[in-house]
Amino acid sequence: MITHPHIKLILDSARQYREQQLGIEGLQQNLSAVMSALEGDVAKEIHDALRKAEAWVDSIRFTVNEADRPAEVGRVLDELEGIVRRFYR
Amino acid sequence: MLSRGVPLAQVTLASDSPGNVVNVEMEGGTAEVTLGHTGPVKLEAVPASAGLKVKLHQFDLRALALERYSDVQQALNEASWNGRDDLAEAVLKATSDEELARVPKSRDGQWALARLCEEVTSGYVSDEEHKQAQRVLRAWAQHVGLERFSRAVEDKRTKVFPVRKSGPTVRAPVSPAVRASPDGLKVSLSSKVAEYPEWQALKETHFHIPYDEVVGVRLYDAGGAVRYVPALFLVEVSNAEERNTLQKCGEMFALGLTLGLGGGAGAGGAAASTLAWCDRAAVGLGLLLSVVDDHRGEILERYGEEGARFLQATDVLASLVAFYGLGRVAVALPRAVQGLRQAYLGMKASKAALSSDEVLLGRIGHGVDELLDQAEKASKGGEVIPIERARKPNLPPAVEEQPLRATGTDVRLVPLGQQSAGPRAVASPGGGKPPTPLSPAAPSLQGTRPAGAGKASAPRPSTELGAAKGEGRAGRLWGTWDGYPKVTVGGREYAQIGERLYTRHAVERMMPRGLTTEGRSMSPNLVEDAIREGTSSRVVVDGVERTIFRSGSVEVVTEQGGKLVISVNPFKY
Repeated sequence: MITHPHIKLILDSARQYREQQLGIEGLQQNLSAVMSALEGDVAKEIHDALRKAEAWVDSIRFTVNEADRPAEVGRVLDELEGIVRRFYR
Repeated sequence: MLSRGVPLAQVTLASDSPGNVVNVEMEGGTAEVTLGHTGPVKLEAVPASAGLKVKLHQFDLRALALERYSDVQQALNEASWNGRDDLAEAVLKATSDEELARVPKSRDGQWALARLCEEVTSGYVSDEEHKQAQRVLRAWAQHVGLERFSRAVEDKRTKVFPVRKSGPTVRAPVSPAVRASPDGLKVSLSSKVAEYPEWQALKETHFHIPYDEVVGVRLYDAGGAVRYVPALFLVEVSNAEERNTLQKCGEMFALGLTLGLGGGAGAGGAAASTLAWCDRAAVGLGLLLSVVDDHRGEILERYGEEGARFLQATDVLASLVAFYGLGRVAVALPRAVQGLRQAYLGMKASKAALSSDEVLLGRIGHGVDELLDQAEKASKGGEVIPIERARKPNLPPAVEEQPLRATGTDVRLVPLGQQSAGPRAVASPGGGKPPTPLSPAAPSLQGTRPAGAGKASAPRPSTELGAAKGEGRAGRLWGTWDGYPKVTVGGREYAQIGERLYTRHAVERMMPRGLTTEGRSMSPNLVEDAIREGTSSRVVVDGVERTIFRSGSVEVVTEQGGKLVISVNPFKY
């Protein structure tokens, strides 16, 4: 079970987004907050993945039709979660 | 001078001698007349009425300023009990800020100042008396010094006194009883203090506190906020008989104390209308404190330890800023400002945000961002704004709606109604096509870039936006949202940077990392380079055409061919 609060926030946010409890803006804010909080305090792979995911989510917000966003964001989150779970089994 | 129609004395004043005070005390068959003066004055007896003795005393109200502290003590001793507060107020008013700052440096000065503070905060406290008490506190804080003060607020051993004034629904009121003495304050607490968490650290009910000590006061009547203060503040706390009096004391932490203008802030009354200006830093602090103090319980309940850490960071910063100003704190103690940010991020990250959390966190985050923004500005010599804006930090600044500015290759737009009688302003689409008259409506995409159907396409064509011509890099300053001029287009507000208009979201993403959560350290010049030198593609998002510029890992999402910058991403690829 993952107990690291920031990593947990990433996974919880991803789940909440998929369950439509969290909008894309809230998801991005959470990723931004975790990214800032984890600066220098987490494996580089995770931080890079987080940084990339946050940028992609922001990009999707403004460049993808609303109806298509969940699928696009889902792919980004799949990749991010995959990397995170490799470090926190 | 008459008393009940009986002549007592004759006072002759110089014409330029304002602020004089006369106190008369009748006891038995004796009238004690005390004249406090600030300049040349003559106090003379007149033939006494039968059976009435008159004693005359003169006191120079400038005694404190002139460091004649024993005179101050004597005057206070001789004044009647109901005239001492007026005398103390007059003495403080006759002492300039610079002179007041010297007083706490000597032991006798401290004792005199403590007594004056005791008098001006006793009984009914007028706005003027409150103002003078704040001046004393401020002078004392300057004497303690920012470094020592900050060490004290971070020291877990610093005493924190619980304060809850009595009221019909208060089961365990507690407030320190304080008496000033030559070598410090004698503080005692009722046994009710044992019912408060602070008791665990205090463990005693009687204390002797040197004047130079910094203490904390947990204001339970103000949501449990802790404010760190020079010990002398305990005198004011002790004298505050009513909750609203104490709340008035607490409000100074949000507004005005740093300028010595806090009396009456938020309390209305005559003094409020005399408050003309306030440190802009108070806007950010006021915004944050108004949200945080209203939701302390909620923050603790939802965020536990991280919430407590955030509240502590807020309390520390509020106390430091109240006495030393945000600019000075930001420069001398950046860790206090950054500590607040880190605490906020920690709190935010500690719990998955549900929709109900988002509202509160969003408001707090806005307050933190605003404060950090003001800290940055204040550290560079903050500006001054009207107090009205400081009190209503949520009000957006007035925005004057303007038409868009030029984006054509070789033309400039002027605001509507200001066109010259010459040829109409036009935008050239380049490529040899005829120029198109410009209109205030959002123009269509200019330029000849082929549609890229969502894929990266040709490099930026030679048709450049107006910003590119004749404008140096200095025209695109890297600042905060509040610092840029605003333009409203289609009911939406944009920041104007160079010749482009940026959404608030874009500006916040461009901010230096560390200053805001969203900041990605992307300067306007980097955005400009990406637009000018990068590749572009066009997409239609829910009916809105957007142009995406890419350069390396940088992505800039725009509308109207680059005129409106919607978002920026420095690490997209």
